[in-house]
Amino acid sequence: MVKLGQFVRAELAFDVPKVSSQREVFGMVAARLAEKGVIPDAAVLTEELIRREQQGSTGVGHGMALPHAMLADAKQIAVAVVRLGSALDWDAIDHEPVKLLVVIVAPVGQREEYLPVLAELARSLNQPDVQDAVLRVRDVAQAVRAIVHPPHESFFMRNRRLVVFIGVVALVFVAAGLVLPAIRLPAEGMYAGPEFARFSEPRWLFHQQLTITLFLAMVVGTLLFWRYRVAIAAASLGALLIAGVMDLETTVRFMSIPTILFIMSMMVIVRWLENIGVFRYVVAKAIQRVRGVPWLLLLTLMAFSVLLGGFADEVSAILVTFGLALEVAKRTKTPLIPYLLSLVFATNVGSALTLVGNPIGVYIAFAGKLSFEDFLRWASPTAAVTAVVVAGLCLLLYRRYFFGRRVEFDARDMERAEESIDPARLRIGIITFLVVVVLIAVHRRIELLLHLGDGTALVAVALMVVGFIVFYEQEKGRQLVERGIDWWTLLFFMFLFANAACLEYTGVTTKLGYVILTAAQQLAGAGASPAGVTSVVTVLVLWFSGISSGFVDNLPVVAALVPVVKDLIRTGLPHATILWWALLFGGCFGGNLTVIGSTANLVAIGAYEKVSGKSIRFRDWIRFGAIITGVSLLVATASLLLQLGRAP
Amino acid sequence: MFNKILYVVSEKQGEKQMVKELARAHNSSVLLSAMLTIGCGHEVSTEGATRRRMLHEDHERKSWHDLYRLEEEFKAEGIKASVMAREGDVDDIQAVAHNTGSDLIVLSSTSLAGDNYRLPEEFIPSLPCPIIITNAA
Repeated sequence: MVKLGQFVRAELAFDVPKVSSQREVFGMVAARLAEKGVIPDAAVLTEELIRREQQGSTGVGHGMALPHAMLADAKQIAVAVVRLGSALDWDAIDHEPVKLLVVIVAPVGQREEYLPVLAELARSLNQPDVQDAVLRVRDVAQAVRAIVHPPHESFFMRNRRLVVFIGVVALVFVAAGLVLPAIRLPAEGMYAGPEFARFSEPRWLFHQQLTITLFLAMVVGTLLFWRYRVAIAAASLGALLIAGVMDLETTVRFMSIPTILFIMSMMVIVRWLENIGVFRYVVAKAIQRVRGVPWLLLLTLMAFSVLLGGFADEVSAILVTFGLALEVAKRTKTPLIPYLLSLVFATNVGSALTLVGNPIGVYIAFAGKLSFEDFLRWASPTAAVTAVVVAGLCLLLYRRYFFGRRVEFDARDMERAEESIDPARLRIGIITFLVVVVLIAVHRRIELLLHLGDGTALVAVALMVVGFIVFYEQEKGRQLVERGIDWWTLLFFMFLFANAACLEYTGVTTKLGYVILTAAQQLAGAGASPAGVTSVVTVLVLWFSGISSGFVDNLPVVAALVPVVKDLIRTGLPHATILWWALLFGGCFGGNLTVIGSTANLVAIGAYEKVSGKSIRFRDWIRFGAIITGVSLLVATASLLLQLGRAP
Repeated sequence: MFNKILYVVSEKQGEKQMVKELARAHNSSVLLSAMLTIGCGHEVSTEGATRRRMLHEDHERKSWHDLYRLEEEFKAEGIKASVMAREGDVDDIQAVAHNTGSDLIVLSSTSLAGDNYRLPEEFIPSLPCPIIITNAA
């Protein structure tokens, strides 16, 4: 490895307060090198550096350039570091003007030594922390030191996520060991009986401590090491089995296979519709009708984000609408960020519209034995009203991009994209989609008619449609099943559901439910009616799930709270089924709070980064996300409290 | 026709001659580019974090070395050339092509292989310009 200290010398480094051309700065560098005896003739080097710039810019991006030249009469390999007080246009690859020059000169005969020096310098200066240090320090000698001895992170800084993970797990284990024995269920009312009394026995207390530690380890681990979420969830489940907390049969039952089957089937159906181009066709058609009015374009895209978020899935919704928004933004010369955030906000709100929009909805439906019609009655109106409010807010927040101008909007490319869609397949796709929606919408009636168990028709309809699609696609059917299903995510869901159900099995969620109920009774006051207590619990569940869903993946939050809601309903609270909807809205709307709040956010940001090469900062997101989430949760709170008396 | 060619430099550089001929024919400037995650080959590795970091640094050094060697070669033959390297894999080529205003991408099929392999049809539709994928063999 090349030691840069041999070549990068402080005496060859200097600051230039103001410079107006490449020739001028090269002249200064050459003069300094000649003065220090590196080269005999400054003019020769100046001309050579200019000639080489004309053959291709040496600007490597991030405000830096590495001009380099080999001269016959150079005495040695030398590197001059020059910081420019005023940035200079350099035709760099990222079009950024240059603030730092690192000029390398070498004798012609030392090509084999010179290239490694150049490579090492380029590598070093490509590191963000080195770039930052070089441009930030006051003294140019310090800049040289930053290049020669790049700042290295300590062991703890390098492994900070692991340190945080171990710290949190240890803390939770200790805290659970102290808190859980202190929560004692009363031996009366709904908590009377041996099945509740056992939760205070030492063996069960240890199981509770272990379960809650492993569950939170999984949540924190998923947050810190997203790529390894399946491994973390699997390891956590394995630990529960080895510790004898659950037996194998119970574990499999807790995996909620009907939920998994339904999500799996919907993944195939949605991927197939995507492949045919159904979603893109419908949205592109609508977009073409509103050409020229920026705010109407945004509203149309948001409307489809809500609908696709509700009737397909949030990932497909954001991929389709944001994909089209990229083209719209380009043609209307509008920044991408307003589209990105507005569409993600709309998708997350829309995912609460029906049972199929979000895995949260599916899980809640199966856990609470809720039908599609229940969703239409309880979730859709609130989600629709919230979507309208969110759309208005987005237009208000981004008004300077969408009002006061008319744009030329050429949608011919979109028309061309439609031409590539096979009309026969498109027809079959649209009909199948409508059939799926109708059959899923009436699944409860089918179950009643055929005397089937809750949710049976829901799974059966989805599986039958998958069967039809695989037959229809023939050879490609297998490929669709193999690639259309996100097996990685499904496995994660199975392990997550089992881990979360273990909280219920060991009594952790019963205790948590009891704590929430007690807190709600105290908050409501001594003379509060039972319905008043339900109102407080509803608000607590809604806002807790909403805020926590913003900071950790929303499914673990909902999975952990589902057994709590079940227990709270069992306590006999009046109208307590409203809590399912509080949980749904909290999980879906809370996803808008931060960048990591939901899968749709991560997918949209990924697409944005790929196209723009830029990323969006956590604080830039939360600035708008907090407003949208706060308002959405307020709308949901008002809606739920107004309808509380009508809930079963 | 092609003002700027984005040449994603592969280890074998079997497509180098074709890029030179294209650049000469169209009087193009060539952006010699390395995507530092391609060919790194140790994303999922049993190596420890420090060892992985060292391997990655070695890979970066080699990539920059190859880029500057090629730059010298191209410039010596009168072809305008610049270099760039960035973290990323084949999926990030779209952003690079977009940000650099490239009119043509030249990529070896070896760059599509590896741990994060991609089928051409998976990423071609999102590219902002035409692409030539050369046979590594």
